[in-house]
Amino acid sequence: MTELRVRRHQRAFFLLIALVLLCLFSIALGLLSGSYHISATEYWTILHGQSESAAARVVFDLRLPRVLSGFTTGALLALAGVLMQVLLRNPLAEPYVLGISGGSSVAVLLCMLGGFTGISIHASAFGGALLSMLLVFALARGAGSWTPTRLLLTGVILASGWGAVITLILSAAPEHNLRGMLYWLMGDLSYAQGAGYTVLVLLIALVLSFLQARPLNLLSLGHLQAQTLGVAVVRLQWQLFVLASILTAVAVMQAGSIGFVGLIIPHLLRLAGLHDHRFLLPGAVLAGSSFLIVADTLSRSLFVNISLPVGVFTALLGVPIFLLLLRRNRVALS
Amino acid sequence: MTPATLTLSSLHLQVAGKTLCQPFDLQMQAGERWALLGINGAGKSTLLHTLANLRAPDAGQIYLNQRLLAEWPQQKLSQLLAILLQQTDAPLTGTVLDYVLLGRHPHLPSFTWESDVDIQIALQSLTSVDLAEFANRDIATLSGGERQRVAIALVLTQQTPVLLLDEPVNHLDIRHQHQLLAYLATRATQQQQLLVMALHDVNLARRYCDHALLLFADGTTAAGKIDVMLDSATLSRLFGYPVTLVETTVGDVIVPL
Repeated sequence: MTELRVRRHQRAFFLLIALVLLCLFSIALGLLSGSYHISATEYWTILHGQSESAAARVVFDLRLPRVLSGFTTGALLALAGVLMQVLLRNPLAEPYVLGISGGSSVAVLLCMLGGFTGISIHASAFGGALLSMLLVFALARGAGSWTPTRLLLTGVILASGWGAVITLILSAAPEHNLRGMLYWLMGDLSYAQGAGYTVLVLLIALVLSFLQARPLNLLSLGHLQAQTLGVAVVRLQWQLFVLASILTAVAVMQAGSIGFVGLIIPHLLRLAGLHDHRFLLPGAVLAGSSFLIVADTLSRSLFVNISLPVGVFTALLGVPIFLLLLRRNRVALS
Repeated sequence: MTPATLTLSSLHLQVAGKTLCQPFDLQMQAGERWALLGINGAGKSTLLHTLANLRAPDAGQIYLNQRLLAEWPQQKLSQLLAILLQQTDAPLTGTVLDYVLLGRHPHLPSFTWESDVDIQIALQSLTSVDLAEFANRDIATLSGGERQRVAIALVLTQQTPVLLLDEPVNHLDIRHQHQLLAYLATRATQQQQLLVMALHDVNLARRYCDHALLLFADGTTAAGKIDVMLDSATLSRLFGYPVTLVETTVGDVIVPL
């Protein structure tokens, strides 16, 4: 029996270990690569605490904060994706499909149009995301309870509405604003600052959701079934909603509108066999962060002196990986 | 398992303004096996959902052990009462054992992992629905009938003194229909469990239940010992279709005309 209990979680356990290694590897990759070339001997001196050189400043002042914000943003998005997919019981649910990034983008673009910079951009990103989510849930809830399909549909419709507003703003915006706006829309980690409190948000969210991991497993069976097994469903749905909203808002505030992470990371993990949320939640944090760090490293080091929007790379990397795994999985099943 | 009783007092059920059953009283005791019979849309599932506190009665009260059903805390209730819902086509993931172990949730304190004892109980449930070899199978690869039996194993794993089953033999072949109902009936008698199941097969009901609750299309209800309830006149009225009782060498059988 004990043997069965151990074997039951063996695969998940090894996957998590592999993900920890992957995460460490991508952090190292993020610190080691970039358009500024640093030789092996220079790394050696940096490792020995001589942090006066230009190379050391590149690593500590430029790359480290970026890797950190890539870590937290990726983790926040993947975690939000897992939670929303349980809440909506729909594999397509993620912060961006639901129009949350759209609402946030509109707020930010208006802010940029008004000539504001710095902290007010972050604040409007946060406010826009939160407002948009409240709107989706208020509209979808109506008189009765949340039905997943209705929620998703409301979100998708709102997202296309926001899309139209975004196009409107872009076409009306003065030339010199356009580039900044486009970058923000595709996601950009170079504005990232003050990763400290986002790490805190991430940790708290991970712990809170991990404590609810077993109820989350039940809720994915459907709300009636979860209720018969003793889950206080409505309370849990509210908790999920609030938690996912905050995670998304913080991620958007940190790095703009980066799509795709929240959608594909949870699915990649499920395809790899992680279904139990006690493994899926930490797995999503590790995989999401690794994925975004790698994507960001590529975006800033592929071309000298040009840093591309990271959202381009999350899609360019994510689409083939996802399709490949989906295909392999189908072959294995049939 | 401590024995439990369900008391229905002036229970009235409606769906979308249509009366399913007019106010009626009923007492269901531990160890009794109730068959719930009626045509499609008569309110069998609605009644079972109401008894499981998944919806509120439209009027009247339900008591579980003299305490109003709605007043039981959700977790405590799920330790006393389990319900097999009709199968949805919700996508299921993970292994059969993972799924069946979810039935231990009501008994586990938050943030503990399933122990060896829990796994033992889940495996026993799988054995009792003839799926002992399936513990490590991916649940998505099961057939409809196997899935139904896994769902039954889950509610058995919950180990509750009250067990409500909405069409438990759906999708099951003849052998598994009889093995399962025989097992449930024996278990109910041995462990003083209250069993309430919605069935469509009157002959199965006669064989494995000792009480029947009939939900007529006009909203009236009738309840009592099954051997006095299920005569051909009553059943013909219940189903709106003539049936007759045929004597065979293995006992009486209800046959539609």
